[in-house]
Amino acid sequence: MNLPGAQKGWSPDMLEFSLIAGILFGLFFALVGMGLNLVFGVMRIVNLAHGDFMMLGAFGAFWAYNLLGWNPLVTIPVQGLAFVLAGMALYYLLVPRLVALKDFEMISLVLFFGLSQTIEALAVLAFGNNPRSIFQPVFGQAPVHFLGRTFPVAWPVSAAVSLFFLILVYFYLYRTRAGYATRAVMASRDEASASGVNVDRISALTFGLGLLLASVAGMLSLFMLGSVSPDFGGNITITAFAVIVFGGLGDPVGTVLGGLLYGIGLMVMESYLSSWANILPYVLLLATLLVKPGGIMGKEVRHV
Amino acid sequence: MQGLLEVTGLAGGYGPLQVLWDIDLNVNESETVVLLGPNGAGKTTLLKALVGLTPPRTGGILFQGRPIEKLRTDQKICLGISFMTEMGVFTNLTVEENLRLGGYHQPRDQVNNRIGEFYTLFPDLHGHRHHLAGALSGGQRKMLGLVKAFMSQPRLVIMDEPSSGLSPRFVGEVVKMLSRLRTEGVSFLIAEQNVKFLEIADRVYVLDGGRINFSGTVEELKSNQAINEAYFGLKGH
Repeated sequence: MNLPGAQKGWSPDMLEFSLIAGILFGLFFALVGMGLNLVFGVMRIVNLAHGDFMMLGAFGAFWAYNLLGWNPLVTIPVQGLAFVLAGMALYYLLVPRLVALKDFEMISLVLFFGLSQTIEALAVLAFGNNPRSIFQPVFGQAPVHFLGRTFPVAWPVSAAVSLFFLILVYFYLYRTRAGYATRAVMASRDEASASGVNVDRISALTFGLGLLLASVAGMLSLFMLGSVSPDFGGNITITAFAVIVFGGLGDPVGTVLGGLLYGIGLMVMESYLSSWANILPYVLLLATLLVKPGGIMGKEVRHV
Repeated sequence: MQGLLEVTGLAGGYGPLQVLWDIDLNVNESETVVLLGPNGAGKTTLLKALVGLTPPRTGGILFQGRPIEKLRTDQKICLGISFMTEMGVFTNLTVEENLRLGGYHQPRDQVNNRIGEFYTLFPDLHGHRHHLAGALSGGQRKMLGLVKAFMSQPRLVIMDEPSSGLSPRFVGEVVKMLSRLRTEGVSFLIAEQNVKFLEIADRVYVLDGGRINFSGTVEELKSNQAINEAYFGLKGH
């Protein structure tokens, strides 16, 4: 990954920089994983198009900035609403038909893989196969000084936006009626139905929420990862998947922890072993599955 | 007595596998009906078919005279049917969150009042209200499951093996608790293999091999030699 502004090479106080930057990136990666994990938790579907929806969110912010002059922070709520509605529509279009099939989980993997490829191909046709980025100082010119270190201002801004949405997810899940119902569906669809929860409606809402989070994370990728091109989806889906497997599939709290540890790990590797940093998600995925398949939160692997 | 739930000619199962054949069953107002049967008789499948978790293939289900076999599970719950599954609670939610979900369709004030009433009735739950249901003992979990099933102010409570996983002492407790909750003219349909529940039954159905092969009162059941030998002999009544 090409990280803007990351300092390279050996230096005694590099670790401190890596840790702080790692936390900023970690919040971002937690957001990257959160949408994928909520959808998995509620529907037992791995949305392989998660990264492609992030890409669409990034392009949305890019065009809104370049054509309409919108600050990305202004784009978030408008685009977010559109993604929620699109997500709900997509859910009702695709998933109820899938659920009726015998081999639901396998078919859904294939379907979402196909969706991912389709979105990527259409995006190449529509936008051309070039990486896009938004002029960094859109969030302000001055670099930020924090604990004696200097960071591009986009990092703490992106981290703050990520944190805001993570807190929003927490309030939704733990303080609202729909949130209780969502956690109930995560525990058991049948039990939730038997309590009077309309599982389809909660699932559609969750899919919409998953796409909303993807669109925000995609927009932030323009700043945290430098640029976004139409083929951005595949790799970032793997990263998101590594984060949520590491944190524990279906566990939102684990995703935050997984994201933070992943961010710190990535920044430490960027500082000391930068040429190896790209394989971090794959190594993490393999290591987690082999050593602690339930993730760091240590819950047993769910048997569906 | 007024018919509350009327099931006629119901058949169902999972995918290509048929489990239930030609089930006729009814529950009247304020009546407690026990559905007795060994493991694998199809009790859970029948209850799931009634509430729509595994939609029935053929047959009719009337609730308060209204056909409900085509409704979604959550719509049936809204009509006044409550279903306590064998698990009964959400282990990843707190005791209080479980109760709130039990009253998912009720107005908030009413839910708060009802939770308060139940805490007075079962102080044990009050002490654990902010603990995860998964941290409760088996007996406490059943208690929570029972109370949760009553949160929606149901007309009919359907229970799948309330005795499962409980030691004999706790089974007695659950039966006692049920008789305390048998107020307000609520009807019960309880699937069980534990004959202790016959103590509170008005009528009994025996399900075996996916068919109803006995229907009548507890006395009639006890005087039926064949059924008695098949079930009670094995259960050590």
